[in-house]
Amino acid sequence: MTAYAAKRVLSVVPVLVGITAFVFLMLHLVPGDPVILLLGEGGVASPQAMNALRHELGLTDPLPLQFVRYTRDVSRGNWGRSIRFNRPVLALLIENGRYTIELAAAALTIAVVAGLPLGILAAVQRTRWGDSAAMFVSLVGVSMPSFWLGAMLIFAFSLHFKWFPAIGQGGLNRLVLPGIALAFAPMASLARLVRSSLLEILGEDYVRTARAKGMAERAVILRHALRNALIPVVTFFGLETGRLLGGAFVVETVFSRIGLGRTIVNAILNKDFPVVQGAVLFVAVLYVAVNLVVDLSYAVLDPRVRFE
Amino acid sequence: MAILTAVLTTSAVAAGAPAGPTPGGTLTFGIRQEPSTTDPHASANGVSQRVLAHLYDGLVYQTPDGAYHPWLATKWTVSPDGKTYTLTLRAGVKFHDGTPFNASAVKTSLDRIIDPATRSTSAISAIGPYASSEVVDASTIRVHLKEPYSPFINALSQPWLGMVSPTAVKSWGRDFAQHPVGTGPFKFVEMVPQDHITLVRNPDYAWPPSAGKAHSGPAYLERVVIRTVPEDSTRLATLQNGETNLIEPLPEQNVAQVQGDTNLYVLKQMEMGAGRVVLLNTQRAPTNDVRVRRAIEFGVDTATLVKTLFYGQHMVGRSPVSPVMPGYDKSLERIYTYDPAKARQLLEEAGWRPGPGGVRVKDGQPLRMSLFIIPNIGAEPTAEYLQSQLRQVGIDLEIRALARAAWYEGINRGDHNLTLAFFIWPDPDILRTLYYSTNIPFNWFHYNNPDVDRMLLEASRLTDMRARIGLYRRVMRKVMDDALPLTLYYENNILAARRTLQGVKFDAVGYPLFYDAYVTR
Repeated sequence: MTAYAAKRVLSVVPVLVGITAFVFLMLHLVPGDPVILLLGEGGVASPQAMNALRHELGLTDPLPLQFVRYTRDVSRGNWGRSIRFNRPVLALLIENGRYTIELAAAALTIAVVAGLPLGILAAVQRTRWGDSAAMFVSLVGVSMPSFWLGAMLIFAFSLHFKWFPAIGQGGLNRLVLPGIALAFAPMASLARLVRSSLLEILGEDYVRTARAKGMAERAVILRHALRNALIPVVTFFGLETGRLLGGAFVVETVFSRIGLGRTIVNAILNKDFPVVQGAVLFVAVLYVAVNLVVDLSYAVLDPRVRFE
Repeated sequence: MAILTAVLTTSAVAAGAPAGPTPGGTLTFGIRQEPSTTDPHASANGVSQRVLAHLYDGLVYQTPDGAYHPWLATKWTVSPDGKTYTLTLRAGVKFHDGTPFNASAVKTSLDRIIDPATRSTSAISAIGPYASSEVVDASTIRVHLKEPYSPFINALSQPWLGMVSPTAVKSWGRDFAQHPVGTGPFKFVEMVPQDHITLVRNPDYAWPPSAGKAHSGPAYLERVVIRTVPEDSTRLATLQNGETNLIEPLPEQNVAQVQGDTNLYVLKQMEMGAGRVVLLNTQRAPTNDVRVRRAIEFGVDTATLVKTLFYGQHMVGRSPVSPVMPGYDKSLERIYTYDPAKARQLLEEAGWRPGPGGVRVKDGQPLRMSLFIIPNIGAEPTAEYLQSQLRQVGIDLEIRALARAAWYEGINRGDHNLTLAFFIWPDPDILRTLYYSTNIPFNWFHYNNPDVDRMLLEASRLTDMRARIGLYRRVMRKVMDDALPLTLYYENNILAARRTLQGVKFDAVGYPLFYDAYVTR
């Protein structure tokens, strides 16, 4: 297990190098000179001023040299400075990332609290009314875009009932509506996943044995079947993290929350390319880290999973 | 000015009977886009002016009628050669950090703009051929220009040329934007990126401009919070539930809804500048043919565009500058009117004959042209409208939606036939930015006309506004005759407020000012 964990952690290194290279190249190979964008908007910047800035940003050096320098700086925690905010990129991302992680965590919690029982209900009630109801809810959930749901939540609970504020972050009351908006899609997928996974396991021999021994149905489902049914659910969490971070941008925009998604989009709009570069890397690292944790947690959940 | 007055009157009526202003209260202002900086001299987007105009004062004040009035400079004189401006400064003015405002503070501010380390875009462009400043005595500054530049007084009135505290500049250097210090009616408290900027009343403020203000002394509002709320429907919801008491912009489709809500009202102000305009590239075929360009001018029904896409909330027009600009010439509006028959006839004359699928052909080539846009709210519907309109006269318009950087590169190179843009600027010298040949590539018409160049240069050197206007009118007639700009409409800046907020005014370009604003309970 320890050996596997070490190996798994090490395997992340080439992934990170690859991501760094990709992010670096992405910004250098797409059309558009960042210096023109930074200074040229009024059409008045002198060529000298442009060259000075190009030099200052290290854009005059050969690409390989720029890449080596970038990788070295990044590995030392120097992710550059935001052109717009004149602040270290990493500090900016950690500060803004806090709110995205908070939102994603809230959404995951809501998704699990609502999705798990919904999935169990559907499996137990298979082809009966409970199943139909649960699957209807989840169908609506997967098909409803989060920006529309967000707007509806604001309309109902901020405007009509005035229960929650519509914008901003900080405090549980500002987390409820965006959390629900972001949670709906994963909640729906989770319910479907739990249903199918549980149905499969309920047909297994050991479940039949447990029932034959006279075990209560409740115990059979919750103690025997559910634990095994959770393996794909854990995989789901790993994959869902990426979608949550992406979906967070939409929800952050609708609810005017500080967050990584808006940081990236604003940085693109404001031509703050050190931030764009840093943010993409930051999200990638976050995603890799979550999937690492997911992989390692298989062993804890299922003793049959052996690592060589 | 008739239109402007009409607009102001409408908003005053809509505002209802005002209760008297009382000090205190908070203005929470929801805006779509985040201000990019609190440093007036650094690169800045237009939305930053909402913040800058309240933190900093200028030397000169421009009222929405285009006239200039004393502010931190009580008077100014221009040397006969037009290259030296001598300004007398107001006494008793203090920056928020207690630093006295004087001639050396003005010198620090102006010199800072041309310092490459400041990375200025808007301010450096406004300040033009600035050479140096000379401190004559504490209350007199002499500004030297490299060449005569009549828009200089206009430049001094812009938020980009706000006066900054020399003490703060010295102690914060490149971090000045995090610690901005001016002499304005409000002081900086904090800026939380993506979220809000908070300003608090400057209790010592006693130097509002001599004109265009309803009171003197400190501002009424205790606090101004500028919140970024990017989503249109959310922004309106925050106004309706009271989380904000002013929002900008109010989408055109929501104007009627706000007018129907007794708690809210609409504020409208036309923006100075060149309006929303399609720029026609004179160097690339087929728009290098003036007959084709004229056909495009005749082939687009802008009245229907404004009515259907923008709910009639903007002003239809064809002139190269908006009606609130000095030099606006109403007779230019009649040069091109919607006339598809005329458009077809011009295309026939240019040799483009009806071809398969309704697209005209010449020498086996279809009449195809490209429209470059940056996809954002409003650009795609407008582009599609133009496409369908031009299709009716036999032009196949290809819409090229590009990221901002690629768009810049493309139109700087001249790869486009048409592109969509808008220009907000409070001086007719905007025409030089747009049509002057040495401004290629920023002259996105890629237009090169020595005659026009000569008139534009002369106009920028004349100090007599009447003489300048005479030249600008000739330039505008020429560029209209050459069918360069297809002006779609003059844009109104549309805001919505809660009735409890009163007294919001506008600056010359069309942006809101809060010095006279107050909240009622």
